[in-house]
Amino acid sequence: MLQNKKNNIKKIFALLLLIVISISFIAAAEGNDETPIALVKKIVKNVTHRVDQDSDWELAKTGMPLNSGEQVKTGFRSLALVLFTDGSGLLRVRENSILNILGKQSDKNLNKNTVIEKGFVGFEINKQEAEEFKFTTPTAVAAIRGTEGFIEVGDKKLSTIACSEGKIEVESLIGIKSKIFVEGGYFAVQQPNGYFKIRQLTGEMLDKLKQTKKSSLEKIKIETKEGIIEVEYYSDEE
Amino acid sequence: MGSLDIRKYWYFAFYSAKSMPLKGIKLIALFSFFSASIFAQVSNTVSSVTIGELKTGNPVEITAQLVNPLSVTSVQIVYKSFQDIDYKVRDMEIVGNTATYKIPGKDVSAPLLSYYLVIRLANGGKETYPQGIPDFAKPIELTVNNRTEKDNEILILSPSEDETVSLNDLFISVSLVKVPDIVDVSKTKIILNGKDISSKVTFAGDLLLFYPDNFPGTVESGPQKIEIKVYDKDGNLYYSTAREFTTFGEEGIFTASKKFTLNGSVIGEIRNENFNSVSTLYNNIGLTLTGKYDDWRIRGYGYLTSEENSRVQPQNRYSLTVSNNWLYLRGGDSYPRYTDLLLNGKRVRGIDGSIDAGGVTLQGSYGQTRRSVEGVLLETYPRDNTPLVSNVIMIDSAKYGNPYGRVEFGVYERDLLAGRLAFGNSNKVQFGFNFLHSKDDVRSIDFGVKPQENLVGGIDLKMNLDNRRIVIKGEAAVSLLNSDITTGSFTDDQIDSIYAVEGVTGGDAETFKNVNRILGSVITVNQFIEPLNITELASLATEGAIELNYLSNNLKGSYIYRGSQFKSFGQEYTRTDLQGFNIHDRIRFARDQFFVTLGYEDLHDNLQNTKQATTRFQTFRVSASLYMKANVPNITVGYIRNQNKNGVDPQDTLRINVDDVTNRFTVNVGYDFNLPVRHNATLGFMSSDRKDYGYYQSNANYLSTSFGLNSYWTRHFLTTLSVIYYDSEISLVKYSYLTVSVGGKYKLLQDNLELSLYFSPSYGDFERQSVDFIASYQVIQNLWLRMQMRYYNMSQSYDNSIAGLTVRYNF
Repeated sequence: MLQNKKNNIKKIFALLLLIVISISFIAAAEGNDETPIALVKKIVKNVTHRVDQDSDWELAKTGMPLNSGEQVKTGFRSLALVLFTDGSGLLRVRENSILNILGKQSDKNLNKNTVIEKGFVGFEINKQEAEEFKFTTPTAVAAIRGTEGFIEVGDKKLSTIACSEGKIEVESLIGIKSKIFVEGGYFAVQQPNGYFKIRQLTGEMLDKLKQTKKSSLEKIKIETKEGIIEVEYYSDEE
Repeated sequence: MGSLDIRKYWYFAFYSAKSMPLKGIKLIALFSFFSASIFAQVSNTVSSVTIGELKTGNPVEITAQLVNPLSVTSVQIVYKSFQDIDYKVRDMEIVGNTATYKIPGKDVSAPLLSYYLVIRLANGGKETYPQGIPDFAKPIELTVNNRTEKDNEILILSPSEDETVSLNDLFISVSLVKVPDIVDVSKTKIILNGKDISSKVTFAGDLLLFYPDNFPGTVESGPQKIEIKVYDKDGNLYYSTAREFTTFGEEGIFTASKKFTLNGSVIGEIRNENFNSVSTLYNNIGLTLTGKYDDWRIRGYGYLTSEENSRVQPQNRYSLTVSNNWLYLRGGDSYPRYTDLLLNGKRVRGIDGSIDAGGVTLQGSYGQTRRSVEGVLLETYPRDNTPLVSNVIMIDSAKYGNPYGRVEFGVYERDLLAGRLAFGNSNKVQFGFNFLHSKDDVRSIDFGVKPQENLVGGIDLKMNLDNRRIVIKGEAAVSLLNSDITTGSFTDDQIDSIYAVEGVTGGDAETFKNVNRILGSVITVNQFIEPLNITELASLATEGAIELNYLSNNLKGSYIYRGSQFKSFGQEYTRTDLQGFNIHDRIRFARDQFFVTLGYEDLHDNLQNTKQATTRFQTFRVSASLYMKANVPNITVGYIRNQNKNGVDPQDTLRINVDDVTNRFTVNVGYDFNLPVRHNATLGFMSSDRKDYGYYQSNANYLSTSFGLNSYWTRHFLTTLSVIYYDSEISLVKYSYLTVSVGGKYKLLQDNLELSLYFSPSYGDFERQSVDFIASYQVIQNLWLRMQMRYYNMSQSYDNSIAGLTVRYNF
């Protein structure tokens, strides 16, 4: 009788294992059918990515698709151009930045949320009709409708949002949790108490916006008596 | 060729409702307008016109094949969209036996684009294509498709249109996330340079990816083209789209220490033409260079031809352009663009440039718009035996022996200086001042008549508000024209002598002298300057327009005032003596699948009361277009009513009564279908009925029917069939013809050799047979050879033929 019980337990265990494996395969198969929400259009120097928080960082490659939940990290003087697969826009991830791309399908619409843990991200987003497009930083959330600008997460995790065209709705996640609109030609700097200071784009900000668009890495080698000096710089995209 | 040399356009015509029963409509098959279309019209100088795909906002290239380019000095295209008041006139670039022009995307909008060509001949004559415009024919009207849902569903994420990308960075990515459920994504095909690479594509859900790195040798450096074909679950073609781009390998970069890239093309042609039993051999060579160094871009263009002749305007072309983000400088032949009233698209040989200093823009152009062509001295006369005729002029007696001579008049060299200073941002708010000064060089020829001078000054304003949902434009200009500067400006003695005559009124001599001094520094002041009275506003031109884009409407209203004496040498085709308004609305329904366009225009002339009566020109336009997502034909129906009336009593024997009404109906239908291979076909009708109740009684009826079918039998073989029937009656004179065009293209030798053969006979009041054979061979990568032979048999006239060889190399 004891032997029968042991046999039954083994059978049940085997069956459960089979079910779990099947479910895993099914899930994996469904995962393979999932359309990536973005892809990496261009890489300059050191850009890595990982599938989730528990995975290791691996070198990213040009043309690599990104699914919801994946992260992209750029190193020193590095750049990644990320394109959304629904044609909704482009992100320019500048050096020393980490971002996490999330997407949720709703009918034929893909609601996107780009989480910027740190760094500087320029964006060109087409006019959204039904879809949501958000940027989330550790301290703020910005909703985009059809906009060009950049978002920067500073050392103290405070956010700066600049808008060259369109309009951005920004809500603070800290302090008094204020909500504002940043229109084309203005930028907002988050204060520690949760307020935003809105000002017209200064020359420095306009330069930053201009620099955001430079993604072609050029190199000049200068021969000197002491050796060869290499100077690298970004120029405009062709 | 019939009593009247009438030409028509083959366009879409729907018979007016009263004369065509409805059952006739049901018999009409519905076809689709696709990609490049070839039009064969009746003309002695243009054998065919090829037009690229017409889609709102997309630039489109128009290419005209010239029958005898040796006899042609220039070709201009005249075009406008459905809602525009004025036609735009632009010089076409002539290379060999083709004239081309790329219409900017901003000038292309649904539902219709009208155009015709103006061909100036070496013998001084002028023709239009179609012939007989404007009196006996109407411009060709083309359907412009709106961007449909399908255009937005299939996204080519990489590469971008016309992108130049290194082979190391190249990958192809297509997103089908927005296609409807009837589409089977797995059946999607990707064709790269004519080769199907679908088996090498990775599918990730609705995303297609192709990495050339994984398939060495699939892509070489140079120009590339991808086509994406999407199918539904039944295997029928749902939609297809294409994109061009360029790749380069390591050889595209000079050295690692200099990031200077250079590429270009060389094209050489040798051709023999046999026209009216006269055989002529001529040669052309063209060079295009594009270079880039850091922020700087360099473009060079040169075209040399054996047709160059000092007795006609220049046929050679050359230019060198240097530019970066803030500077643009071009030397040689350029086509500067200022404002519509001042200077737009006229060829200037000299210098053209602009500086953009962030908020301030300075633009300037200086050069020659016309070179001198000396006249011909036919006979000389002594002082006492000179006939009084218009082409007998004073000549240099020391040089030619007698003081008077009978001449064929030449053409003066005409120089132009234009400038514009603008403040603001052209994408937001910009305000500008502009001017133009153009003058004939009196000393450039000996035998000329009435050299002229022109001065124009203006202002312009543009505002884009609320993300360009509100666009406000305004422009105003005033001109001065001197129609004969031979004698120069008045001298002080001449002014004194004018006021010395008793009874002369209007100011005094000193005031006149002061005005002469001030104005004389910018333009020649004499009795030929006009207008004499600026308070009449005869030389004032203004335009104002507002455009609103809200709630799926594109509403535009504009007002124009053009004085009867407004003149700009930089824009010689501006309609003058006109005032009125134009209002136009395009409404989108059902997610851009259905469009309705309404327009009304009310203009009148005789602004300075110089005519017998004032004529009012009223036009009403309406059209409806359907672009369905599903497998349903596209259809556009249009109606235009034009009425011109001057209110003169028909019994009035002293003044001419103008009273006419024209009704025009058009229907364009299109369809893509598989039977069993893919076919694109077009079918259309146009009917125009003009009733003239005025003095001239020139009634006119037109009926035009056309059918075109492109069939893609295999990847290597396609055929083209078109049938055009035209029938008209103008002032009781009838004219009709039928033109059939049959042909095909075949590719062989791994698509390196393409053969084309077309046969096009015309019957009826216009009889002609033409055969066209083209062979194009890619010898090695980037090197092509092209041979073309053309033969025309004109009824009761000479046979004409053209044979040519072209070599092209890209680097």
